[in-house]
Amino acid sequence: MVSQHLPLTPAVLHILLALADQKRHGYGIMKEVERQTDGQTQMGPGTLYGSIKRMRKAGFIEELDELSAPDLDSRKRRYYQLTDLGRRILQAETARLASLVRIAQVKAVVV
Amino acid sequence: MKIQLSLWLYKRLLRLYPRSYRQEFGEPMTDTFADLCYEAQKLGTLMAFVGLWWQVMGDLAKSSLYEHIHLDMERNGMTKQAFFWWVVASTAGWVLGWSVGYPFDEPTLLPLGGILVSLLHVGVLQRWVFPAGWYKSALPLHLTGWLLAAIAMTIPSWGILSESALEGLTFLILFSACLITGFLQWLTFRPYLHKAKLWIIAPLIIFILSISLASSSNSFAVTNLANYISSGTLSWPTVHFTTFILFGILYGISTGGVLLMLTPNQKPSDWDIEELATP
Repeated sequence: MVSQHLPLTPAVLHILLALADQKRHGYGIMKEVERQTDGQTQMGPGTLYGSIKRMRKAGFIEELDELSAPDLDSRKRRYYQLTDLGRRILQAETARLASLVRIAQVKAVVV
Repeated sequence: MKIQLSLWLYKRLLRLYPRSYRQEFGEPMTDTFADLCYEAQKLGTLMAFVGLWWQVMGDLAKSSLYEHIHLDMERNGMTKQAFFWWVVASTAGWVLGWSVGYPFDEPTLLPLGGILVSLLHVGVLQRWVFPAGWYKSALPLHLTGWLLAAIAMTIPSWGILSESALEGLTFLILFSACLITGFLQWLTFRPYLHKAKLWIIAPLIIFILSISLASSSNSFAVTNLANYISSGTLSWPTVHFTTFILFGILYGISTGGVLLMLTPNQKPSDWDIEELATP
């Protein structure tokens, strides 16, 4: 069930990671992705919401009721959070990547 | 001022996305873009806005195209697999037509290829695109178009026209056959597809491709190119065969492209209505 979704695309992995610790709105996800990659990955609104659409359809994330964002202005925004499936997929993908890193370490590709 | 102008422009550019996508995500996308604008404004330089627009334009171009393609495939349209087999069917049809009709020259070759391609296309449509099978009524009309072309193309063999007049007549016949075929198919597809008239474009693309492939009635541009590359060492059947493979691929890509535009615009069929009525 979980393995059929792997490997994830970079955009999907970054969004899942951004939502791993808390629910976020679109701009919040973009900023978190930028922060967790030291500014190397910058997602535009089109790429972000296209990925959100497909992730929501696949059941990785769910949309919450519109809430106001205390860090921004008074406009209400759509928040997203991980589902149980999304969290299990994120765990499986990070475990897969970690095992690849271990192989690379054994082969002295990374230190 | 910069924010107002940017938002005004961004909202208009959102029209590049499919309508359903825009209805669902247009508002949050605009909100997110507004947040990015406020962030650029805090930096207080014009370059911050230029940088933002540079990133957003690339994102818009890439993601809007992707959403259109994704939507086409989502709506029971053509998949990549169907498109691939559509191109294979086109190529196989033309090459088979060439193999059988080669001794008889163009009057037999072109209609035979056209008929074989049509039959193979029906198989692809049935298997991957429209399982309901309504398009089958288009087949006899498509075949009629090619048979009319076949009859018309025997005229040059009567020997009553000069060579230059024959060349002009050949192109006119091909053009008319393409237009008639497209028109007949439009009539058939009209009850089922919202944008059926787009199908008239397909045969016209094929006609333009034919002209670009043939520098004159007996000398194909591809043939000349193949001869030039091989310094004249390739036999005539080999280069002719290559020409038809290329023609088949171009034919498949152009007609498949039109079909890709048409499939998301199916009108509800009786089957769909029954499905909707089922609780």
